[in-house]
Amino acid sequence: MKIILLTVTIALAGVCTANAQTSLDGSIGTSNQDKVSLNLALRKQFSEKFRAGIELQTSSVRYRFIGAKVIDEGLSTTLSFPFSIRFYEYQKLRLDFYSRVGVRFQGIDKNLATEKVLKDNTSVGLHLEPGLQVSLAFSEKINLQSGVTLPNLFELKPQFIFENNITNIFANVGYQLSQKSILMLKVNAGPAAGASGDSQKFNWSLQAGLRFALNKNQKSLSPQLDPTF
Amino acid sequence: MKKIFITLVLLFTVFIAIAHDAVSSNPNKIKIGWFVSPEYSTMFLTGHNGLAVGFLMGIKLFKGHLKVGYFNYGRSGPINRYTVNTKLPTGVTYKGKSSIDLRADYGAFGLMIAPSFTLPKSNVEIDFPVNIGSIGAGFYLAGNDRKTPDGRRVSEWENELFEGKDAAFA
Repeated sequence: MKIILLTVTIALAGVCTANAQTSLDGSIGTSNQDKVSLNLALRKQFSEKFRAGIELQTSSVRYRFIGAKVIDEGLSTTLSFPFSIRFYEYQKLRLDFYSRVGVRFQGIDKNLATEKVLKDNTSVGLHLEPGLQVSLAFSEKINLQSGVTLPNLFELKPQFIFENNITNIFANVGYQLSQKSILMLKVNAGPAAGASGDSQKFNWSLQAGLRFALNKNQKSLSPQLDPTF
Repeated sequence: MKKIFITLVLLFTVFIAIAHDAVSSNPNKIKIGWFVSPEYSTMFLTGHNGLAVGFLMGIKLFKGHLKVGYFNYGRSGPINRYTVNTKLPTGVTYKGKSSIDLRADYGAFGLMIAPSFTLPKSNVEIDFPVNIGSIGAGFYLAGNDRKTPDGRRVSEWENELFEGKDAAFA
């Protein structure tokens, strides 16, 4: 826990002190995994090519797993570090390598864990997600993004399990409300393949939210939205 | 669920077109092009349609006339609700029943090679893809049958009921 807090502090300090575009993303969503999920993210455009940030997702569980057995209530929280590197840009089209590394914490009531014959009522997991993101400046105000990410989930505790690999096809729409705010709509969907035990077979999620510029002198806001799963 | 899925399909279909058009409209500028193509496909089978989700990505050579890349498809249960009732071997029961409800899924990945042609005076491309790769397919317990009677993992039950033949790779 201390290591996580230290990592978050260092990451936040880095994001906040770097002299570059900074944005705060807030969104609410639902998925086949979660009844409701809340996302908060800080993102920094360090250069034309490189963007990185930190994101916290907290969810009320609909259908997840501990030890490859279903849980249908409880909480799930993922702390992740997304980043993207621009591969190519021509006129209105842009291609980025997109990736996310994260840690996931899940927990349910102890009595329920006993009833479901789970090894533990909490779990810790690792989230590794490489991908490609294509962005298109559709108009002055609308930016569209699509592509694919491949989230890989591993449960580390109470036991090591390769949970699943998802072929996540995403579509994001960003609508510029003002110079310092963007309305975000995100859709994810794709098949999942798991290993031992039970796992997701198909994942989808819908999210809506707002992006704000944090720097006072900031005159523009990065239109590329992160494909948050 | 059905409405959500149709909405997603429509949304993604729009994006696929955008990605392709934007690349192919500048053939003289890009000697080696690229493509990323999210895809939804339908297979028309007897009595039902099989849906699959996947993507292609790779490079375009010879002024876009040859695409070489990677493909990845998955056909999973929740978007393919077709269920097969299967009798268990004599003397074997699951939750007191002598038959079980099964669904099928598969995943495939590998190399894609596609001769490609652009229709005259348009940005419409026609590909003839050849996929070479690996595929894994299997059956699994569906619906309430995934709640095992003794709290053991559903995969343990599936292995026992199918004698380990619930999935195969090629």
